[in-house]
Amino acid sequence: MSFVRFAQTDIVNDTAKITTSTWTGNTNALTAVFTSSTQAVLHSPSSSGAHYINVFNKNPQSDTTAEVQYSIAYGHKAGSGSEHFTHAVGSYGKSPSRNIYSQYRQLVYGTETQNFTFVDHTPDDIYVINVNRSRYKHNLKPGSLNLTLASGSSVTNGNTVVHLTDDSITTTGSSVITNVGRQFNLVSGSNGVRLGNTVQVVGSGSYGYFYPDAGLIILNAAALGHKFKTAAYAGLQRGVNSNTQEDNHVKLLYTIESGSSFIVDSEEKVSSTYYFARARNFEFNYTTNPSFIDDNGNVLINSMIDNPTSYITTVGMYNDNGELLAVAKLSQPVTKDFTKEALVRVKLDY
Amino acid sequence: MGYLDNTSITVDAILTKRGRELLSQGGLGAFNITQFAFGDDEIDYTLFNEDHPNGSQFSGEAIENMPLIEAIPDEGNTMIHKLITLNSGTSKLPIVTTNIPKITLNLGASINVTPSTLNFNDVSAQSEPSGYLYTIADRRLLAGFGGGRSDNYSPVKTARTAFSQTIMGGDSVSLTALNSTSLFGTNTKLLTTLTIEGRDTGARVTIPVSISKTQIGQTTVTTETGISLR
Repeated sequence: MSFVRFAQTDIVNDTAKITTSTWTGNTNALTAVFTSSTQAVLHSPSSSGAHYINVFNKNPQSDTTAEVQYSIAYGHKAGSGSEHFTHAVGSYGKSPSRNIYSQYRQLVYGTETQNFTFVDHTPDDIYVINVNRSRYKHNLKPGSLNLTLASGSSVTNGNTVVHLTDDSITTTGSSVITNVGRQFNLVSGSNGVRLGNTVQVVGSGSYGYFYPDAGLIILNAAALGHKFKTAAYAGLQRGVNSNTQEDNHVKLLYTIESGSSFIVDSEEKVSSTYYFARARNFEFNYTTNPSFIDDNGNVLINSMIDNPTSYITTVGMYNDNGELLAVAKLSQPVTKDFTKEALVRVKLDY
Repeated sequence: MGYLDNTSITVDAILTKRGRELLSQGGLGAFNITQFAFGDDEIDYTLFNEDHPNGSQFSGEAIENMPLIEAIPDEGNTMIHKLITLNSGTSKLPIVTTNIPKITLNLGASINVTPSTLNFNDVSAQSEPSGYLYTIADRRLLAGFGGGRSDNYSPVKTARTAFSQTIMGGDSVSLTALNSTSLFGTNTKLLTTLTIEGRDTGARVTIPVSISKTQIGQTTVTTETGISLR
């Protein structure tokens, strides 16, 4: 007998959550902001750069290992702040900013009629941070988001600074379920804990929403504009003129660059199955290994006739057809004889 | 007071190619592990030193200190030597033999190979009750590959990964060589192996298979060409 069937109780399933940093190289805080001069072409409404800007971890112009970490976009429900695709009667308002707003509205709400409403305020426009899909496993981890926005190059030089996080810890994980999964409020605070008692910026609603299952952050442009009142490029005063490329997404980019800290973790659920392979004292004490016997099957080592000893190095796991589906190796041989029992716990991850 | 012995060894398993294939075909429904076996592929038992100067407790010293290599994902190249359960005092272990030690076939020719297991349950030669696993290393070289069984048992076709194929079941296996020269190139023969493993004992034997470019029953047809005149 060489095969032993697993008993029902010998197979145990387990699920564990694995958390890693989202950014390339397991970097915890992304402090630098780089863009590509070929992608971030802004003054053409049909270009990708007019819709979104890819943010890299390194300079893509000089470093071939640079990878996209996330993208930034600006959306306006009437299409303001960017040029019309075709500036003619019948096509007014059809612009990149309207594309972005409509796209994310469809994703989140599944309807073209519902606008983004942050608590009690419905702004005309939003910012979007879209984390690159290849950066995270199953989802972003609620409670790990820490995004610093600042109006100037130094966060300690009298500039406006906002530390944003989701409120998943404060709400003990309670969330609104949308078409793109869980939705948490984006609030002032850190590590999922809200600072103060309210999610709102006075008169402007909350800072936005965090969608960890879709890798999305929707920012309330009105709340940020209220908080960052400096009118310069480093501020977040949006330009909302019609048929004008206002580069609003670039303004958010500079604010993130000035904040110099973007932290969010990736989360993965790993399902494991444990198989308990047991060798009782009277089992597996002989081997078909050719070095154990001669050509006629005689045991070569005299002392092993009365006291056979074998060595376990490998566990093979089979289906009913006798097909080898998984294999596990031990780090050192385990001695097996009639006086010893062995229990090997084999872990198989999916 | 000492520390308790942790008798459970934890190891991580990897999927074999066949395991991945089944997982991709039908998820965990098709991927159903039901049984296990232990192997000792890289152990050389001649390293067991009966005459160790420090006594018999140290006979296995060399083997026990052997560092082991990582798992091989090809199911055809791992778990070759299995540990088996036999009564204490057994001096002769089961071995598999065949009626044909080496297979040589011409194109399109067939042959039946019948294994038997020696030293199994104190019987000199018999077929194993659970049958045998037959694995051809390069299935491309055969037009037919199937098992037969005296009690009308239908063999189960199993692994078909890369070039190899394993079938489970019968008391014998039938091999029919391919009937085409397309794989030969400039070679006059192609080589592969047939491995037979007893499902009860784990004993196995590998025999060489040679397919010759020679055709059986070859017919030469001569035709006339030219202009037909009235």
